[in-house]
Amino acid sequence: MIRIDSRQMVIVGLCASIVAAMCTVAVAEPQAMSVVASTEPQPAEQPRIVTMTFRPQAAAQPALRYTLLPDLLDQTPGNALPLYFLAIDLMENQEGAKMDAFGNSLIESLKKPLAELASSDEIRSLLERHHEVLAQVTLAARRETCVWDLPVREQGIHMPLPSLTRFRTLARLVALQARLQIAEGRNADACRTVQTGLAMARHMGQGPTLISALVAVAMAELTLDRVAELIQNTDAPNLYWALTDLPQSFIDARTPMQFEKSILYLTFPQLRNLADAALTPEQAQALSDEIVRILDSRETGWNARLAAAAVAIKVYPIAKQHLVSLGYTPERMEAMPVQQTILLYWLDQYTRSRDEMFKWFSVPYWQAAEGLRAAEAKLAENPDRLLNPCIALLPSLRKAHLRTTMPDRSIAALRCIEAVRLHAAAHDGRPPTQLDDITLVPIPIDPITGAPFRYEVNGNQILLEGPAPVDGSPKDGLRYEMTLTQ
Amino acid sequence: MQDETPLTPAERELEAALAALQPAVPAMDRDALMFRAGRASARNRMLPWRLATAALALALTTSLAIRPEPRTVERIVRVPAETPRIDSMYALARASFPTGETGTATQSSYLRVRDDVLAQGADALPRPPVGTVTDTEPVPEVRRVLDTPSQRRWQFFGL
Repeated sequence: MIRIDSRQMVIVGLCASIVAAMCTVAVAEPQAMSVVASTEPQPAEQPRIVTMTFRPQAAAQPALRYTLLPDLLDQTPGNALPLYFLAIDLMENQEGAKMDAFGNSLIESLKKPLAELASSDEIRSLLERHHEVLAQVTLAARRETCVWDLPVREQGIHMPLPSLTRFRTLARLVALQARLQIAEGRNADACRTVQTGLAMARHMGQGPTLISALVAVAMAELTLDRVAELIQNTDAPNLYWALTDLPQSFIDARTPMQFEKSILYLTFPQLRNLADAALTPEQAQALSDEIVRILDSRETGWNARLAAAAVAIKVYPIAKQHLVSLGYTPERMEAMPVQQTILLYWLDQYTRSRDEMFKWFSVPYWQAAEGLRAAEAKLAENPDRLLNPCIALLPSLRKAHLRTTMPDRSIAALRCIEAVRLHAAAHDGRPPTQLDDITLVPIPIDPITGAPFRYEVNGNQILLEGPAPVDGSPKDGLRYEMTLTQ
Repeated sequence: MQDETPLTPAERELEAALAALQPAVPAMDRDALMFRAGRASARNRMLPWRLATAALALALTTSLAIRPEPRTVERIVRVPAETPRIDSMYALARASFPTGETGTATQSSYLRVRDDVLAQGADALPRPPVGTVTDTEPVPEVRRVLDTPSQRRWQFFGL
């Protein structure tokens, strides 16, 4: 019998391992990965495509019989926000720990075909279960004001935000209700629910931050998609004038932009009078450390202090020269602590860059886009920005302006579609060969491009398209592929 | 059967001489000798394995050192054409120093959420914590809260 002791076992095992390694090396074909970056759109990055089938329909009589925001006569005095929070509370009480699953089920339900909704007892049961939630939201949407009253001035960037995700869940619940009403052919009820959804979006847009404005955009788009579904119904009213009656900038981002513009001084009030402040070197250093800590740094240890010292050595001569060019006297510069000099330089740099961008926000996007692009490129090319932590406060204004303009584009596109229905109703069901043929009502331009929407007709097939902005994402494009039936 | 013949004087002298002899101390301990013999036999058995291991190790090293040129596999990665985010690279100055003690992360969460939502849309909002309500109690209605025994007494009187 062959006996193998432990040493032999070790040697044998080592041999086997080497053989296995050699086999692996022999089998594995040597490869090198060459990664080629391509900006060609992926299949997933296509423009947003909406497929529709609709019928000609003349304008409603009276012209503003239908409105898509609550009329003044339907509104009640008071603040909507407490009622929204009550609705959220009711919803969370109803769903408990299943809140996330409930939110996901709403998202899935919004994707189902309308015909499937009409026959779904599950959807009816869900809406019935939340009838009190919907009642409170309906009341809230008809309040005259929505005052968020958040501690913006007291806390600035440290201000806690309410859970905006729950507001989106409310918006999806309202959208589902609208879908069921559309599926059941209850056009008037669906119009009233669309009013609720769009009013909610406007209320969200009255929040103080850019985040709330962006959530408002998502809520508005969700509801405007219901309008696109509604006008496909048999005997659906023509909503051209209802859409035209909506505010020109549906999500007014002026208040959030004021917050973003003032955010540095709201968060660090002591910066407002820094030029006149007689800070000690320790005070100036402490202020600078706090700014860096909050805006940019994740570390507070010795290496962060070393880095700050290195930055100060590099920036101080530049800062001093810059302030002298602004009119600071040499005597004043000598008396000023090093860190205060650097802070003043940072503030001036930040303010100039900020204003170069924010000035464009008051201009329509299609006119502002190039200016914003140039301002952002100029900032990106400036090497001095690398050492200024205040730059982190600047959002991508071009994106913010684009996003907040998207609902206006959707509204303009839907107006064009309703104008086509109007024209067809007056011309024996024939669509216009081009948008300029429509004389009954004004045709809006695309607020993203400043140009008319692309319109093509082939028999009863109609294409209406708003392209993605230059050097934007393809998914920012919008395309309606429509069939006009009788 | 034993030989009973008496020894001659010469044989008796030889016998005495031999009896006086002391056995010499062996140069090698027996036990040690047996051990070394056994080890030698095992070494012999291990030698082929050792030679084989050395040869395989040499072959492996050679094959790793002398690899053919890798075949280039091109993989296209599609990236969105977007303007790079503009943010402060103040951390660039910090990166040149070795990592040391670190404090707590203090960068504003508002800025992070804002920029995430700008880049990815409202779906980038942080999810709220799952509610702690485990039983679906209805929100108490004012009427039910006020429905005390004394209240019911007044109702009996139609008040």
